[in-house]
Amino acid sequence: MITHTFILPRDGCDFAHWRGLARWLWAQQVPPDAVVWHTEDDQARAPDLFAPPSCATQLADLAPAPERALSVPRAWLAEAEQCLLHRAPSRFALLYRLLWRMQLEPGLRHDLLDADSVQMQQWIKAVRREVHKTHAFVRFRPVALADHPLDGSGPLHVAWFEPEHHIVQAAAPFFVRRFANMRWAILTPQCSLRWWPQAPDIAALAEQGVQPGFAVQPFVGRPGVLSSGPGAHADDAPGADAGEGLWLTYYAHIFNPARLKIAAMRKEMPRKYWHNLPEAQLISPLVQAAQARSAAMLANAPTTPQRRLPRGKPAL
Amino acid sequence: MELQTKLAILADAAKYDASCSSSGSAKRNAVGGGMGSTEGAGICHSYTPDGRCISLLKILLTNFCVYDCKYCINRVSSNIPRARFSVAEVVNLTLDFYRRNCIEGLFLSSGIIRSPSYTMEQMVGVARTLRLEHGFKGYIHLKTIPDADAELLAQAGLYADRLSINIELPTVQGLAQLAPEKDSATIHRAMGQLHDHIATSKAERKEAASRAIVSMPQSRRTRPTAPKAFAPGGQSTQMIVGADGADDGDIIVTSSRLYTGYGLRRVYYSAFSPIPDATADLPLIAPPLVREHRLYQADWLMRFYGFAAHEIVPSGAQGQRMLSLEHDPKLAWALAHREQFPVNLNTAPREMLLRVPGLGVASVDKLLAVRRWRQLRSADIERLRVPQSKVLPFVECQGWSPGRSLDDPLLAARLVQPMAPQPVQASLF
Repeated sequence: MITHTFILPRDGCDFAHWRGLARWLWAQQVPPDAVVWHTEDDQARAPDLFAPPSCATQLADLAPAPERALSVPRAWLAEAEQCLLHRAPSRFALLYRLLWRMQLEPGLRHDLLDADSVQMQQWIKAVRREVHKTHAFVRFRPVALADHPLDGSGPLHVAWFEPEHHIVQAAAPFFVRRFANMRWAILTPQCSLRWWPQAPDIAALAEQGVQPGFAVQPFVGRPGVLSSGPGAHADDAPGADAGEGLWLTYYAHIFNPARLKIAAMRKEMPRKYWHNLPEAQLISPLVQAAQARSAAMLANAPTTPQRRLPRGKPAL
Repeated sequence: MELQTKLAILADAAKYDASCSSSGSAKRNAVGGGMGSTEGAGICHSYTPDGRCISLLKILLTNFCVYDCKYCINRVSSNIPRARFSVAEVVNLTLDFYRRNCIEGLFLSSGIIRSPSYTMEQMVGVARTLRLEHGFKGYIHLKTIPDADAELLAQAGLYADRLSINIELPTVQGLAQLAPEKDSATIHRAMGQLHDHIATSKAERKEAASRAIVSMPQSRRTRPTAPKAFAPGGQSTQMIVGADGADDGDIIVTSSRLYTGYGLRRVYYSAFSPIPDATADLPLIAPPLVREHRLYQADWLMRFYGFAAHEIVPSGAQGQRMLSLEHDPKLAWALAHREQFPVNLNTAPREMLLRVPGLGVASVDKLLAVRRWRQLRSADIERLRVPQSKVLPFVECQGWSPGRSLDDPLLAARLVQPMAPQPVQASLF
C-alpha cells in the first residue's frame, strides 16, 4: 500500500536532497513499495492527479524521524549519485529499494549479478556513455564577442546539444579543463552553461547576471567561473560558419568508399546524435556514392606512371 | 592552391593509415595555460560510414613522395593530384578543429620529399610549434620515418604523445617485393631506438618520482622536476593485410614479436583496399574486412586473454595458415580443445574463464567478484548479457550443465557467426 508520495525538486538529480529523503524513509521504516517518487519537472509535464503535494517535498516539512543506523558502502553512494542522472522515472524507487535491501541482506553489496544491482549498473553505464558521447559530439561554433577584462578575449564558442540523460553538469568539468582559457557556452534544452575564463570570482560576475547559487569557481586561487542558467532553444545557438566547411571537407575525404561498414558507424554514433553533428549531413551522399566510386577504382585501367617530385618551396 | 583543396588531397592521401587512437598518454590539461587536454581514455569525435572513428586530424604534410611502394596511393609513380601543407597551415587547421571540439589532436604523416631527415624535420617542426608556440596540450601522433636522423627521432618524442613506424608488410620478402626502397632492418633498428628512448625516459621518471620528499620552508615543490616524458603514449605500427602472400600465421607471429621485442602499444592491421590509380603490378581486390577483423580479435587474445601466438596460429603449411572466417579465434580454439571444457564457473581459475568463448574480461571479473560471496547459478549467466548460445556449451554452474553438447558433431556448424556480406564488397566482383 502506498503511504508516501514524494516530489523531488526540478529534474530530481539533486543527490543530497534524495539522500535526505531516503534516510528519513529508512528511519520511519517505510518499505520501498510504499513510496512513490515524482519530480517537479515530470509533474509540470504530466501532472499525477493522485499526487497530493504540488511542490517539492522538503525534509524540513516532514515530521522529525528517530535516529536509525543506515550503512552503505562509500562507493555505492558515488554510484547512486551517477545513477540519479539517468532519465528513467523509476530510478529513485530502484535506489531506495537497493538501500533498503542492503540493510537486510548483508551479501547484497557484493552481488554484482543481483537483478536490481544489474539494473543500476546498466543505468550508470548509460549515464557514463552519455557523458563520454557529450565530450565527443559537442560541436562549438565561434561567435565574435568584444573582449572583456572580467571574461576574456577571443570569440565565444557556442554549442547546442541535446543529451538523453541529465548529464550536462557532469560533463562540464572536462570542457573546463580542456578549454580553460577559451570563452565557451553549452546550450541544452534543460540548462545552459557558460565558462568565464578570466573572472576572478563569482561575485565579479554579478553585473553579467550570474547569481551566486548558480555558479562555481572550480580552481581555488585561479580565475575562471562556470555559471549555469535556464534551458535554451536550438535557435539560440549560431548556425554554420565558413570555417566549418573545412571540417566537412576533411570528413568527406578521410572516408574510404572501398570499405563501407555502416553498422559499425551507427553502433558508435547512433542516429539520435546526427541532427546536431554538422558532418552527419554528408553520411547519406557518401554512402550512396561509395559503390560507384569503388567500382570506378577497379574499372579504371592503370595509367602510365609519371614521376612527379616537388619543386621549390611551398607558399606560406 | 586553396587550403580546402589541399586538405581534400592530403586527407585522401592519409586515410589508409588505420591508427587513430588518442588514448594512453600522460594526463595534461589547459588549467595552467594553453589549450587542450589528454585524460587517459581517448575520445572518438566522429565516425565515417567506413566504420572508422575520427579521433585525430589525420593528414599528410605532403603526398609528394620519392618512394615507389606498390600498395601506396602516394607512390611516386601514381598520377594522383599532389599538394603540400606549410607548417603554419597544419598548425592552424589543428587548432581550429580542436576549438570546435572535432578532434583530440593531430596525426601527422608525410610522403618522403628531398630526404628522410628533411621530411622528418618538417614534421617535428609542426609538433614543436603546436607545443611551444601555442601551448597545445592535445594529442600528437607523429609517423616516424625510419631512415631519418636519430637526433630527429629523439626530438620527435619530446613533443609527440605517440610515435609510430609502419612495418608495412608482415614478411621481409613482402617488403622487398612491394616497397623496394624500404628496408626491413632499418625499420626494426628505428623501432628499437624508439623502444630504448621510451624505456629510458620511463625509468628516469620513475626514479625521479621515487626520490625522497624534500621540504624546505616556503618551497612549493617537494621533489625535483621529473625529466620530460618521451612519447608517453608509446609506439605503434601498422601492417597491410592482403597485399602480399603472407598468411595469418605470418602476421600473428610478426605481431607477437613486435609486442614482446619493442614493447609496442598496438599493431594495426589495414586490409588492403582499392586505391585510385593503382599500379598494374598489384591487382585490386575487395578489402578482406572479415580477415582484418579476425586478426584484431587474435591480437586481443594475445594482449588481454593470455593466449600465446602459437595457440592461435592455425596449423597447416606456410602460406595456408589462415584464421577461420566462420568462428572467432577464441571460439575456434575452444572447438579444437573441447577436452578442456566445460569450465566450471564456480571453481575455474581466471586464466581458464578468459578462454571461454563469449566471456570478455569485464564479465570474467564480475563472475570472480560475485563467486567470492556466493555460488554462481544459471540465472547469473543470463544477467551477464553475454551471447548465450556461444557461452552455454562451454560452461557449467549450479543449475546448468551443457550435457553432451560438447560432443555434438554439429556444434561447430551451429556456432558459425554469420558475418553479413558487405554490400560494397559483393559489388566489386
